[in-house]
Amino acid sequence: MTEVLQVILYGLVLGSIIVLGAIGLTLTYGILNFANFAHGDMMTLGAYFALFYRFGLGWPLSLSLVAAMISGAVAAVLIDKVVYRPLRSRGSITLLIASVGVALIIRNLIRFVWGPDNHYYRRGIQFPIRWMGLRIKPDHLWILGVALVLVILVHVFLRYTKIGKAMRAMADNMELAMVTGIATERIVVWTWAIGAALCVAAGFLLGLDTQLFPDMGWNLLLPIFAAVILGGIGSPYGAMAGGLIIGMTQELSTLFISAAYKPVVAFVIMIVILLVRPGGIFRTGGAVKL
Amino acid sequence: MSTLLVRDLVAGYGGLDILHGVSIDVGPDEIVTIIGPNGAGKSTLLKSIFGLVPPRAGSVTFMGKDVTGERPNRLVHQGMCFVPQNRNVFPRLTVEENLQLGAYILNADLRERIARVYDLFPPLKEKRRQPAGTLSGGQQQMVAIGRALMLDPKLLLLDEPTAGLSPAFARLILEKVVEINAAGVPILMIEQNAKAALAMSHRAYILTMGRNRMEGPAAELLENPEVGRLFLGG
Ligand SMILES: Nc1ncnc2c1ncn2[C@@H]1O[C@H](COP(=O)(O)OP(=O)(O)O)[C@@H](O)[C@H]1O
Ligand SMILES: [Mg+2]
Repeated sequence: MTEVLQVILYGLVLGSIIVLGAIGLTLTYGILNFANFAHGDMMTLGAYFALFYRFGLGWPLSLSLVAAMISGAVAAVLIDKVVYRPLRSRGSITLLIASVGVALIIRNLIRFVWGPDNHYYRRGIQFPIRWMGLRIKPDHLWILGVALVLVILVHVFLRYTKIGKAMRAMADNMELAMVTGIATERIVVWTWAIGAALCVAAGFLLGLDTQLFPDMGWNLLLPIFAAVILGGIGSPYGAMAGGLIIGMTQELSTLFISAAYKPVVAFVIMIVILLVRPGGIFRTGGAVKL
Repeated sequence: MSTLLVRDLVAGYGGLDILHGVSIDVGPDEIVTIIGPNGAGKSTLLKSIFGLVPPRAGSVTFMGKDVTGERPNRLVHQGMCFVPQNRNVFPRLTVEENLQLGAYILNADLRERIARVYDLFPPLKEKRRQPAGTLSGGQQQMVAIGRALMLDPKLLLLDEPTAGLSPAFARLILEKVVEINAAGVPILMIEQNAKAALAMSHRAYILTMGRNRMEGPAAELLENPEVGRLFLGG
């Protein structure tokens, strides 16, 4: 029993990280109608930004996170301006291929600047807290706390601000959003900025949980896509639920099969959903189309 | 002065022209209806007036200003609002959020405007916290029209507001259109329900194959035997 609870805790931690990655991906997927393959590497880049603020400038870890989120937002808006916006009328396949290019550029840039080795935000071993037979790392509490705060902020933003409502409207029905008079290009900029900031937070938390290395975000891209598709493309709330389900399922699977197969679990879920419920489990999102 | 003046409009998709020079007027207090067979280009005409399909020739003048090919966003600022035929609500947003987005360009308290829409369409009030996609077709059409009314438009474009509705709901929606017009909003409407539409309109145009075929006071067209035979089903 304790073992199951322990695995559920790991599932929550992984799920929180996937949720933060999935919100931005689903919004850009729904609004701009393309699958952004550079999202995982933006996550990595954000984690290294935070590393730079922490050790390059010696800032406290929490401030480094905030600064990295802002830097990631700026980087994403610039990439959109330079790469995606000029290609936007060319269709989603062109954008997808462009994003693969952006992904490779970011990853190699990281390798070039920080090298291929692992990096850590904290030196030394953290002693786990023991609670009801569970081993809880203090970092895990940080991860859950930060993710919870960000999800609540996203919720408030999407529900109660004009820009947030416009974002949901555009993910629902782009043409009607234009007909309504929403200045769509401005909202697109906001979408990139917020999606990237959340994705940077995901990368930071992943680095806090394990370590930083150039492929860290790329390796998580598949489960993030699985979460987006599970929740319905363009649905931020679906992405939250989908992320928790994928994280939880991946960790729970380790009770039955080797941990090496964790990514396979996400892949299988994604394929099954695509086959039987392409609009996502809640049938609220758009179906996958390329 | 006409509210809307369309002259010799040419527009289409890809390399293909669908409209081959269409001209339409809408006066300040009028309901003007466009009828015509499927594929005649009626929707294309509204979309090119509203800047969703760029005109290739001809002109659109709105309240005395040339707005040919102007983006939808700019037209909304000038008071032209459009209810498309399909997918005309935000399904995952609540009814009230749909209405709020209708006045997206305003920075004002919207409560009074929203209350006016609920007065016009009372069933929406109890459903205001429900996602618009969960409403019946008729109620979704109310949301769509209500959304377009949020800005107190100076011209309302409606593309087949009764498409797919039950006869009772279709009648109700057309009655509301008359009510909206009586409150001072000029309306340019496409209707496949030609008889009912002509009966409530001031003037009408018949469009076939991307060209003006006939026009005149709606009552006259309704009496015209040729119109009856060709477009009103006998
Ligand atoms: N988005 C589009 N792309 C290409 N052709 C279109 C598009 N929309 C409509 N058409 C074509 O334009 C013609 C007129 O369509 P439409 O304006 O919708 O007619 P109506 O509303 O009178 O039924 C049809 O032949 C239709 O196939
Ligand atoms: Mg049509």
